[in-house]
Amino acid sequence: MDMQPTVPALQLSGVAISFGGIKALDGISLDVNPKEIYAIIGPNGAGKTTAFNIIGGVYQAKAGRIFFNGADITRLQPHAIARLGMGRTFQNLELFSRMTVKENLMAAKHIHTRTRFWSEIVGTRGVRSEEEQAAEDVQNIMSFLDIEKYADASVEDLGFPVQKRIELGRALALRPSLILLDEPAAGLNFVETRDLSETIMAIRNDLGLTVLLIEHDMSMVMSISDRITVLDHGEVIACGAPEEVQANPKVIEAYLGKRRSYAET
Amino acid sequence: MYRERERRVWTGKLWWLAGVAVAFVFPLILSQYYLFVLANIIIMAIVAQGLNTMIGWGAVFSFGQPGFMAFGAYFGAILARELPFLPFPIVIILTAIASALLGLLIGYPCLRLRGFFLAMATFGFSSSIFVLINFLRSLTGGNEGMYAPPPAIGGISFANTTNIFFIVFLIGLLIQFGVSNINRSRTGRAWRAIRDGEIPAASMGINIAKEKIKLFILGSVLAGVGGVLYSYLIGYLQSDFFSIMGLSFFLILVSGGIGTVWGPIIGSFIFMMIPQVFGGMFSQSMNLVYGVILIGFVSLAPGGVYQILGKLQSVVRRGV
Repeated sequence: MDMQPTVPALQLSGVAISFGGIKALDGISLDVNPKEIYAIIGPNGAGKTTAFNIIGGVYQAKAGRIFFNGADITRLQPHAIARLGMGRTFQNLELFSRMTVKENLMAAKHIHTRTRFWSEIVGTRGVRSEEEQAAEDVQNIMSFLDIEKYADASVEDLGFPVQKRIELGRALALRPSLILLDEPAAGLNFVETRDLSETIMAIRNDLGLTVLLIEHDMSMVMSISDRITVLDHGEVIACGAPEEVQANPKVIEAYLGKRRSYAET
Repeated sequence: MYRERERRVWTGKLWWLAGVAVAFVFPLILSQYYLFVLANIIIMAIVAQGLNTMIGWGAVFSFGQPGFMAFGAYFGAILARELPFLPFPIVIILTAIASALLGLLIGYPCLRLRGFFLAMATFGFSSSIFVLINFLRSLTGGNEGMYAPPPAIGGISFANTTNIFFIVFLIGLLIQFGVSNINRSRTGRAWRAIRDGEIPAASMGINIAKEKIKLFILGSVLAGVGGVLYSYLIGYLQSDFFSIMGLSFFLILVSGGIGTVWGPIIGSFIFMMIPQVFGGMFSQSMNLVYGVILIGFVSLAPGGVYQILGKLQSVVRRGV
């Protein structure tokens, strides 16, 4: 807290997008510091996942700019942003369903290998040693997340909580500096959520990543986040440490509604 | 561990070498007629393999294969006719390069489309190739067709079926080797990732547009090379040969096993053997037989014979 780094890991300034006249995001700004666990919360339809899709390059912002480690990524395509070191998971799992667990993680190694098409056709020694290196790293990640035993299983055959860990593993296999987690605890039970919290802490503390997450599980958000931004109707309504945000009347109103409006109806 | 891996790599290579040896066995045991049929099977498998890489791995639904195959056949035949001193391997390589360029030209605009619209655009391409062939009479002989020179090196021609079988077999083996290597490598994985989801694939750093173009070019090259080999085998070209192939490659893929490395070969075998088996009874209604078989596979075993074999294998294993 004492040393404020000069370059934020991720910076959004005045980012806006609308879909058919509906303002999904109306000029949101936020700074995520390196190695911070930063949460975006808000009611359904607040624009959280839209924000992730803009950061990841799936949507293009209509206004505003996005900086990743100081580099302007506003107009970059998703694959170019991933190459700069940003990994992500998806709200509704987006695994490569007809591939094995290991292959899913290996697919994320695409950017770390550079063999040419022609040497792949021949199957040269260089191709094989590169494959081996990638496989080794994938092995490490699988053991970090305790999914080694599923390595050769087809993703479709595995349960939902395991699939969530695989998706997390795939994002980690990119060896990113920043990871975006879209509702990592959704659909998990109490014990699984507690394990997940520990894993996220380990991702930050042991692997040194910056974590930006969207989450509805408030106890988890409040316990692991360093800072929180609250979105409602595409606008930032609060930002700060968990305790500050929790005490903010605007936040309470957004989640629970105004008492008066309840009485009026 | 390193030793173990090297050993596996070498035994893998030995299997492919054994494949080369097999080429010499077939002419001893098969009549000229069945050598011809087998060569035809391999050619269809090569073109189907091109479609297999596109659909089975990349979800790129192309109806362009017959068009690219016709292009390759005519390009190779005209090249060999106009420049008879070119040895046939050079003709094949030049045809592959030309098919790749055409694939780039067609793929670049078409791959902005997806699914049904991509299918329609590539279908349009195929149709226009056939129209073009009939239109350029001075070059292609138009409707009457043209004579296709046999493979030759420095004036020595390899016109008989056995020789052409060798050429087709070896090229087929080479292509199979290359495709199965790509399948296991980074590029193959990237293609299958795109098939299973474009947004997550892009978010893992895979350049979708670039990989799809690579995929389309590979498919076009395989169709083009298949075309040249077809011109060698048949010795005569007409656009009708290719325009009626339209759905054949889909039948081959569905019956063999879509998205598997060996599926196209199994499927091609089934497809070409159907007329051999049912020819007597149903010679006037072969399409009916194809239709029934296609429906049978789609509804009962969408993974094709490859899937059936896999199931049998697991049943046998459980039994033992």
